[in-house]
Amino acid sequence: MTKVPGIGKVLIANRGEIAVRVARTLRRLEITCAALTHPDDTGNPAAAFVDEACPVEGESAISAYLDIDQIVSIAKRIGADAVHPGYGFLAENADFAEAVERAGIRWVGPAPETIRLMGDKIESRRFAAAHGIPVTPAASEEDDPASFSERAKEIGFPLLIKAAAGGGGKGMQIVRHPHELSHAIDLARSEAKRYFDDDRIFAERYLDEPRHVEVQIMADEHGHVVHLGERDCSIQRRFQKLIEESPAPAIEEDLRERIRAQAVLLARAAGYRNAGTVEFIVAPDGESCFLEMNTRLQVEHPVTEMVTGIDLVEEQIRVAAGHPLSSGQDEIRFEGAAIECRICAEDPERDFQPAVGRILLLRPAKGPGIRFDGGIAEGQDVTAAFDPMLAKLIVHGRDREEAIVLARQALAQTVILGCTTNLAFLERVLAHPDFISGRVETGFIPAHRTDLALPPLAEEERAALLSVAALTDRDFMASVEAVPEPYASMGDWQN
Amino acid sequence: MATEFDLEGLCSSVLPVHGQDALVLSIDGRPFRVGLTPGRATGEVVLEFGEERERVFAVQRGGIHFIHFRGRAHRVEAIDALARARKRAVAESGEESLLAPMPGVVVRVAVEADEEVEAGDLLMVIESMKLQTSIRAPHDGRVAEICLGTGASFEQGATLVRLETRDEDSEAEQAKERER
Repeated sequence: MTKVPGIGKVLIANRGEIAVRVARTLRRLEITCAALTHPDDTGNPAAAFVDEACPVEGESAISAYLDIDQIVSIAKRIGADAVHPGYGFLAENADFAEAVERAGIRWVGPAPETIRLMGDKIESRRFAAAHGIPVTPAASEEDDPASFSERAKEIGFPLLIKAAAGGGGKGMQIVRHPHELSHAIDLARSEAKRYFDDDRIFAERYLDEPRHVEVQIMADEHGHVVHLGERDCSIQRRFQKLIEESPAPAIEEDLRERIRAQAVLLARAAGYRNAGTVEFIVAPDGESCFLEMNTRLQVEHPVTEMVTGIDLVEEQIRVAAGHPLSSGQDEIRFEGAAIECRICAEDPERDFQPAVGRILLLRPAKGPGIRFDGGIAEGQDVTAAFDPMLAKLIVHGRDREEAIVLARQALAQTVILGCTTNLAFLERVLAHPDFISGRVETGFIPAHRTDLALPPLAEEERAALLSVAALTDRDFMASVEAVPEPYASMGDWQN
Repeated sequence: MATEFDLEGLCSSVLPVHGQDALVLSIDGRPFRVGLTPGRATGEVVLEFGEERERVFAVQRGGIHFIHFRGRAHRVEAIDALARARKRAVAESGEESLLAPMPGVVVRVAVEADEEVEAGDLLMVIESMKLQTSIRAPHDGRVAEICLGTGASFEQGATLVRLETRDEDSEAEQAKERER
């Protein structure tokens, strides 16, 4: 008997960092955990970590991890009681959720029809608006394709063109001037088709200097819905989050309470089940608009776990098993501040271009209040096949100031050698006076480009680095042994 | 004999000189008294640098030294004389191979072989780690060869497009080539 009655074995339909993270909780709950593997996916630490590694066949690892029929038949074959999708891959695929449930296996997530409703960014906006939650002015192409660009212009500039099936910043274009509109529409449509196989797009008002604030909710089958506070995810590059924190800094209390209440209201109205996140855009004047709802665990869920002390994966498994939530709203406490930094294989000095290489040395920071959720191992090759995120560093302090100091120390202590990463860049963001004072918005990184640039090395530092390289270089040291006698007897070098 | 190392795009020469009781390195002509002892952890070394002692992490692969120093990772490349010569030869032949900056897949080929292109023209769009990168002509020229078609995957350093510099000399040579 495991610690969650009804769940003895779970198949994690995922790989890497999130598969390891889910498996860690399952292990603590004494639940047998299985995850997917593919022969090409050599750098997958989950394969060795879980109790059962389940090979999936497919031309590429990615196509294998997206193979619904095969994954469902694996779940049946190994006798899984539930499937946890993690995030990415099939996590927001309603057909997959449906296939899992049809096979008589519990789906760790909301009902397929809820995934479908929230997955359609146009439908979900209408749903939110119908329940009295403000949304940004928008126009959908499919309402009347012929007048789409006219209707988009009426919204006013700047505006965003987005994919209806979108997410992760893909298929998204900012349009600042009317003459850019038709090009942006074409581009967004082709990206939407490419990434989501669905070319429906819509236009939405773009608020300048917006903050991205989201609310974590959790719901069970017994009508309980709670929020677990909000996260600020404004520090982004290419519309993708880089640093997240909880609670959101420097916002009015009534705004905090309002979006928390709206998130619970939306989840209740949708008959939501399991973990979900309601995303809002917050304008500088404190106005907030519903953006979208993500029907899965989020990458940044650990900051919520750290301030509430609640293991969200455990709650997800309990809810999937049909048990009620472990805490009511009044029992949920928020303590201190937590910050998550996404460590990515990319070069901030070259416009965040993805980097590749072999992880030759890995020494994560350790200590009280520090959590390192990694998907990498020493000797692993970082390739172009998967997302550039290598690991997440999460810290928890008594207050935000302490969390920032701790995060900066932990970033500096984390050693990853062999592949270019954004570790030092993240540290510079945290050290920026505007970040420290909570003046964050989604354009923070481009706006502070100069301040965040790599500082030049001091001459002494340069010499020290060159010394280390020379003294550990076999060829160089061989030449030291072979220094001709005149030099050797010259004594101290004189300039 | 001095050895050259590249750090942040700048080349430095490092020359070993024995001191009486320590090793002295001449770095770009300035002397530094240095020493290195193994640290406690894997990859850890203790650098003695003048009067200072600092814990550093250093590993290497294929002539590239990866060094974690004062909370930041650095990359120092030992410059191999042969590789430099090869680069120069490519520069002199008037033909340039555009190499893949990282492994990935060809999303789109924007030009055809033999097409004349100007600096900045889009040649190819590649995708790595879900991000698209445009490969553009670094200078005016003629597309000598498109080495990979749409959908082809490649490793880092693979030749994507070969571009010929457009100048009279090379055109004359090509004419000769064709005659042969």
